[in-house]
Amino acid sequence: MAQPKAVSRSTRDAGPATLGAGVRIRGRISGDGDLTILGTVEGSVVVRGELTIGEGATVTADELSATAVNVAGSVSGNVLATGAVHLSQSANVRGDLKGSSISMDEGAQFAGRIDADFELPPELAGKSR
Amino acid sequence: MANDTNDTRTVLGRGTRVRGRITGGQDLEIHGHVEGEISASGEVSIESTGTVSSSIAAHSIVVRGAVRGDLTAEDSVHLEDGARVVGDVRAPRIAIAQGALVKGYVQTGEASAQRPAAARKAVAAAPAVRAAPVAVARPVVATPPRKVEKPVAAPPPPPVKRPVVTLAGAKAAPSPVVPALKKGAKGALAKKRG
Amino acid sequence: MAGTVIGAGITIEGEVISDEEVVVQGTIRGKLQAKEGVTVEAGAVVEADIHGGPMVVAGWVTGNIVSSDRVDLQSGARVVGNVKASRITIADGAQFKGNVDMDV
Repeated sequence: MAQPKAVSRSTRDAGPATLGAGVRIRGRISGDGDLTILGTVEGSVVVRGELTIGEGATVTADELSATAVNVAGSVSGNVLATGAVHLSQSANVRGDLKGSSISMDEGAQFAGRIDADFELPPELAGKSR
Repeated sequence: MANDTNDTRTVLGRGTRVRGRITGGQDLEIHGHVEGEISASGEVSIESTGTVSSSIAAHSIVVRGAVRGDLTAEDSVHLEDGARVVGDVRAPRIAIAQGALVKGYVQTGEASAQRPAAARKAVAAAPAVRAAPVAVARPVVATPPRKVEKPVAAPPPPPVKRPVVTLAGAKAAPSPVVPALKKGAKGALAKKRG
Repeated sequence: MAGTVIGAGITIEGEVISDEEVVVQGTIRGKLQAKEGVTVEAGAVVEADIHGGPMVVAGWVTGNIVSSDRVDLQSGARVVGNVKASRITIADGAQFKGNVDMDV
């Protein structure tokens, strides 16, 4: 399995956590620090750190919230980040994305809303959608 | 008198404003302002100074400027750094670079592709996710697009098939039946006939 | 940045207003206004009034041409409409039907 972009820096006393490929969790995951999910999660994931969903991982969540989110696997649910959300080529995401920066590599599969916060130039100002 | 379609690049300069419908052609490069509808058979690029208030349907779309309108492409949509898009984006392949800003429904996949001509009528494609669903127990949380219009009967493009080429009955080209002649034999033959 | 070129195969229905020079190779229906001038190339079709700077027409124009400068109808041009300009040339082979007003 390709190694996802896992960040190995620790946040204060919370070291990076990894849920391996064979792990299945149903429930709520929360915590401080970075989290890498390689297995299957059903429920919700709220972390105060960087969240990485590895290629091959499957996450079904009401809520996926983190400081930054990198997705290379499958996600069904809304993704919320205070920082950047990035979908790599192998990602398959159904859900809305919200973050300070949203990017996706060509090849990523995605269906959902993206809501960045910005204004169009005055020539295009009008009814907002 | 027919329009020659060999050289069909269109450039709308920075000081140009178009209000109306733009159709046909191949590539369309927009540096100015367009209000209306755009439907092109090639690549439509909205450059950094371009401002477009219009739906855009094309073979491929590249945005570096600002767009208020839905983007639908047969092949790909690339939103580059600096792009600002308020509208829905639909194409088999979509790339959003860091720095591109989007507000709208975004959908990748074959089912979202539409032919430019058809897209002119109704830009909102069927929201149904036709791509292989994620192995999930719960229903999709994605918000459906604002425009609730009937999906256009645009057939999804045929799957990419590698044509299987078989030469009639042969795996390799049959070798010629002519037996190899000894060196100099040809010359000898010619001499004989001569 | 080079000016504006409406390529062959493109049809614009509506108005085109530019402060640059506009070269038309395709089709425009509606209104065309270009401060720096307009070139209607052979093969182009303009069904619109054209306003602006110097004009060179080698294609088909149905509409009035109002130029602040000169208007040149080249061979192959086909213009149906009135022309208002300070100077005008109509080449042999150009077809023209309309009034010419040279502000005399």
